[in-house]
Amino acid sequence: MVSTLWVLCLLVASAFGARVQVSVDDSQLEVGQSTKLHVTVVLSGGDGRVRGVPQVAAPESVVVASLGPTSFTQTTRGYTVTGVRFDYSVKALVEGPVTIDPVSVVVGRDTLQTDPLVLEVLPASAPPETQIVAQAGFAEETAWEGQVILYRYEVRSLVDLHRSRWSQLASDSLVRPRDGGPVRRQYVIEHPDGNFLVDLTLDPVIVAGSGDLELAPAVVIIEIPTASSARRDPWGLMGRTTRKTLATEATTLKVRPLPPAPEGFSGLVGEFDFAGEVDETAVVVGDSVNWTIRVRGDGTLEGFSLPEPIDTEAARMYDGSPVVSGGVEADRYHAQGSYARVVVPTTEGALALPPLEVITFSPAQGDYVTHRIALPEISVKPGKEGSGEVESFAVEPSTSEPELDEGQKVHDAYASGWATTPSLFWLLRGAGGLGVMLGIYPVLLWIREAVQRWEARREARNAPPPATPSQQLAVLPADPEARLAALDGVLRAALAKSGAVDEGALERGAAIDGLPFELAEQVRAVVRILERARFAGEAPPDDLDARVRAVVRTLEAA
Amino acid sequence: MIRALRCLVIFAAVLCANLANAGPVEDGFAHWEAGEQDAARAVWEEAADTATPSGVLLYNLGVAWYRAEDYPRAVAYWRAARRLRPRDARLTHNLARGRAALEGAGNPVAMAWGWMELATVGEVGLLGLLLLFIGGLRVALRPRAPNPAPWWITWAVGLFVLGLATSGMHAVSTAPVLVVVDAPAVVRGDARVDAEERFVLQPGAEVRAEHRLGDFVLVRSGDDRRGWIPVGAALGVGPGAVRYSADRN
Repeated sequence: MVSTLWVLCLLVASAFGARVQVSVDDSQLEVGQSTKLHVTVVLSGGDGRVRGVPQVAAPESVVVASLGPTSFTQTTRGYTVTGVRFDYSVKALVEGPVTIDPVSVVVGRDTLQTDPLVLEVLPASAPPETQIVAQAGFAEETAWEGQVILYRYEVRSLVDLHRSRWSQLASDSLVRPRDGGPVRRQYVIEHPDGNFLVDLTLDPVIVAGSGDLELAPAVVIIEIPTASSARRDPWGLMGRTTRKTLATEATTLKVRPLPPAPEGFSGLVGEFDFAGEVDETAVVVGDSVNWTIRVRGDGTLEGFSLPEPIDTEAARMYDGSPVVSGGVEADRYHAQGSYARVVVPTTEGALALPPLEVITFSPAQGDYVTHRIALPEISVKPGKEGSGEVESFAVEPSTSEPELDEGQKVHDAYASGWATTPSLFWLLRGAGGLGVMLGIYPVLLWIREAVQRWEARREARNAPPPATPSQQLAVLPADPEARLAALDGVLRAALAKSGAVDEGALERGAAIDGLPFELAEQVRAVVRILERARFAGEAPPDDLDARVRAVVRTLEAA
Repeated sequence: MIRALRCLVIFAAVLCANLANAGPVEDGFAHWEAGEQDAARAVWEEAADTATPSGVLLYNLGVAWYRAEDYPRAVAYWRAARRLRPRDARLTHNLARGRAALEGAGNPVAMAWGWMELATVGEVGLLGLLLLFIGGLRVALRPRAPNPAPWWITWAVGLFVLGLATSGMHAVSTAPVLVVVDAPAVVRGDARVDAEERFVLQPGAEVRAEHRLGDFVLVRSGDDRRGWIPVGAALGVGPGAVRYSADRN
């Protein structure tokens, strides 16, 4: 995650040139624990590029390794900053304080340096006595009303955790600050008695009430992946987990009310630093000077504003929009704000304004503290009159390349077009639906027809053999016409069989001509009788059945 | 049937949303014309972060980074834009110019499929869908029509082309192209900071991401060498590259 907090902190500073800052995810480490260190470079226009990867010099009690750079462009509240963040892995080896020397970063032709960074390495805590241990509570036992403190949720486990979900911190006397939410960290501590996982969540809250604040035990539901599911599902898509519910002990926080506030109390509770700077120290009457007051502290800046600007004979003043951010870093809550005040001198000479006074409450001192922010000395010269012309020395912005041959130029940006493209996910889901309809249905149709053909062939194969003409003669119908038709059919079948031709393709005359003469004469005679009986209406002779039987038997025998 | 119709409606809605969301390109270009390069780039990058960016948007971001003389980033955006606008001559020219401005970046890794040099995955998918639709509908409506072979062939070709498109999409989403930016990236033999160094990729090197393990990405270079680089060392643009970005843990 790009360290948004640092970026915002450096955001306004970037207006004065490139800035570099070093930060660390955890300033307190245990022996064997690793954390990430970030060197964040915020660039302003015309700074050039960051050259090379900055080297981080550290004592032998820690191991530092580069994880590579990440560039970012961030727009917040109208400001756009670009920069590069270099990530490093820091692993603590030996107990004690560790000082990371200032890191040098080369930006264009300039070399910038960070402040030194101090880490505290604690002895490695013992692995949890049971498989999983859950703890929750405030980092401090007492707090002042309005102070921001951290509520820690911590799970220490000897086994891998799939997920842990804590119950919500519920109290009317605890309010989350507007800037900055809970921060979760997971890390492994390498311990001689066995490595263990720490799942830590730091939740910043503002203490709103006073007195003894009792909080109910926190409950955490932990999901642990089962070994058997990992074997069954190596891809982790259908992994099974076992659930475990643990409860911590109830906690009590003693909240002290603030002493009676002096007049002009800003409402800030915490340890705050104020600093101011101006962008110009020599101006002419009527020009504006940007006076930037930066505030940083461990309390919330919610609702804070600078004392009302009061115009004097020497200058008029206007307030701009503040930029405020906050969050948990290095196990503490930090908020920072940048408050812009525009000063327009109205008389020539050295501009001297009374310092700004901001009264805050310091929990460390248990008392109110007055911060004074003086305006740096500004020399004001008489303004130009008469010409009415404004001379600008600003560099004209340009989006064009220097003069090059046509082939060496790159084409310019498109003036219009779609900003987004349809997601193929929906296209291919649609294709999936249509594919089922249009792709699978014909296949099913073809399969159905193939099955029908196969079944027809199977039925034909399994069907009983057709009855022989003699067998057909045994079951003649009783109806005279049907009986004559059946006799004709039997005779035809017998002829086909004797000629070894298909019954449908039989030509009766040709088949009879192919028979031996006597037999052919017998068949012709029977055929004539049958035709006359069927089509001329003559009464068939009584021995017709017998004659047909005789002819059929002779034909079968032949 | 209902599912297919629902998908078509959603697709049409996404298309309409795209038509309605054409503003950021113009907004950024207004800054661009005014010489406010950083503001233009911020507008375009914000638009690119909120939805699947179009080829035009990625192209413009490439131009913006080129003007800022960050050639590796320009190449990264143009490379991503080429996947969406493979026949854009301006883009092809600019990508060549961007690569020419780099020193020691090596051979760029090729597209996952050769046909991606000519057509986008979406175009091929639509073609496959159309063929599948024509062939499938004819076969489904007149299953006993004489001589159905041409329709079956159309259907089968459609299915094949759709399969190609799906395969291309899978390749793009699972193994996107990353471009080394800011500083040379040390390629290691394992996903550890103290693993042996194999070689160094210079800024602008175009590699294919194959797998992510913690803070490291397994990459394959254009000359077919493999190794692990830190996640933040290379920039990937597009939906498939999100999993290889430093902000995604």
